[in-house]
Amino acid sequence: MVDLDTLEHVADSDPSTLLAEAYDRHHQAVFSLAMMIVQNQDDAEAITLEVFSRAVREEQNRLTRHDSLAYWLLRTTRNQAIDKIRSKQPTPDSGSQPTHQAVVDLPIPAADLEPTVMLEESASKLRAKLNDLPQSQQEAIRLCYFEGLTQTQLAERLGEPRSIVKSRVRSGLLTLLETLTHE
Amino acid sequence: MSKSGHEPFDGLAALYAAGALNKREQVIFRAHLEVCRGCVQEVKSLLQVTQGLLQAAIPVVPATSLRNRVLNSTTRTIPHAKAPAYRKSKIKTGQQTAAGPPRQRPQPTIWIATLFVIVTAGIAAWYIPKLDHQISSLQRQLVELQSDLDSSTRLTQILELEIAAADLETDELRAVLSLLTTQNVQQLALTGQPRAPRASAVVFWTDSGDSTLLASGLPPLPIGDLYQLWLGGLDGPISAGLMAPDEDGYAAISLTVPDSVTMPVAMAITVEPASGVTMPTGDIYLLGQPTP
Ligand SMILES: [Zn+2]
Repeated sequence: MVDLDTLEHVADSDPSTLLAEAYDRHHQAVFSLAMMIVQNQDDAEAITLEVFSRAVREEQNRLTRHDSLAYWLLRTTRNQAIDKIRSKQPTPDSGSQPTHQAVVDLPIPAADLEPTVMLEESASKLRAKLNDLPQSQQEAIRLCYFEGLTQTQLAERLGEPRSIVKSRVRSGLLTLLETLTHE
Repeated sequence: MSKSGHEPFDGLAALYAAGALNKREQVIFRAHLEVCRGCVQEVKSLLQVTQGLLQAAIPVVPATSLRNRVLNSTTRTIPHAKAPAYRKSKIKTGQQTAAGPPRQRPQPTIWIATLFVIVTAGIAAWYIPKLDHQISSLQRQLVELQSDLDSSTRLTQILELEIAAADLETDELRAVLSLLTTQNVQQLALTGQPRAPRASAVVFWTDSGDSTLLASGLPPLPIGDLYQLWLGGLDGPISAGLMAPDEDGYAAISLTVPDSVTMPVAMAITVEPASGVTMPTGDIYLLGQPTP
């Protein structure tokens, strides 16, 4: 939650100090997510560099709001990382879609859903639960969430009707939700 | 919203939260979120999961040299201006937005004008009030929140809402513009029949097979029914999707155009049981014929 006094204090801080603070607080989450998606250290470092540069260029007002900044950084990391893996993929031979589509951004949470930074313990529970999901649900979630496939692309990739992939994603996410709500 | 109104959107909350809807589907689903409490609740719950997933990667520590690279490369780009201050004293009630960096939001009149310049035939004219409605609903919420500013929670909410409003405006506008200005986009208009004289609809499609129907002026449905769209196939009508209008009579769906159908073909919208039927049984509410 944002503390007004803190905000007024940091508002007068030097942006490079704010950036250093933001980097120290969030770099590991950003780098880890990038590594998970691109599986390559050089690419993950380049993405981390780009994401923090963008935060300074475009989102300076967020540098003082850590939860909101964390979500922005991670969303941007996901998009950049998906872009990176797509740019390295060979041209799909199906011919049914453009070779390089823009990554669809994740929804922006509304007012009453301030994104919060998870404790490492909760994050690791969620990770474990994701790995425990039935293979088909895990695959569907990974493909859309970490490779950026839309439902139509997902159905094509898996060779299943859209209704099936839709329910796999939903069932998987609902199971993961139990992990979060049963804490 | 009645249960039947939700039906075509069943399961989409999860795909939306997981980022698995394309831009156009997102626009359509957000319009549904305006009127479906159930979907709003599901999106809220599942967003906790999808936000959490971003943090669920196995922790890996980058090289320590990365810190300097980031700080050095970005320090060069940091403007000298101070970070924006969210000061309580700057927040005013009324139409003005909360303090913070000025957002470059085009005034509705300006972007509506832009749309009209681009879409000369006014095809999108029906959709603009809809977008305007969503934006003004967010603006209303802003004003309500601003009138009660006794806690930092409120301030946070206002800031988030403002961001949501700005993002909605640009995303929605971009999605509509991209739909209507895509190269090679083709369209077929459907006109209201005696059962729905004020209704109209346009089906857009591209060579890549993407297709969307936007309809307005649809009469409310009896409970348990939905509108069903039909494409004229060689062996008879082929169902291309079910839809429910919102309270204002607007509806939008992504179509499934089977490979066997080469657009443009005749299209019709009938009212059918919510489970959908394989052949039309109800009256035709809208009809469109390709020009020979
Ligand atoms: Zn719904």
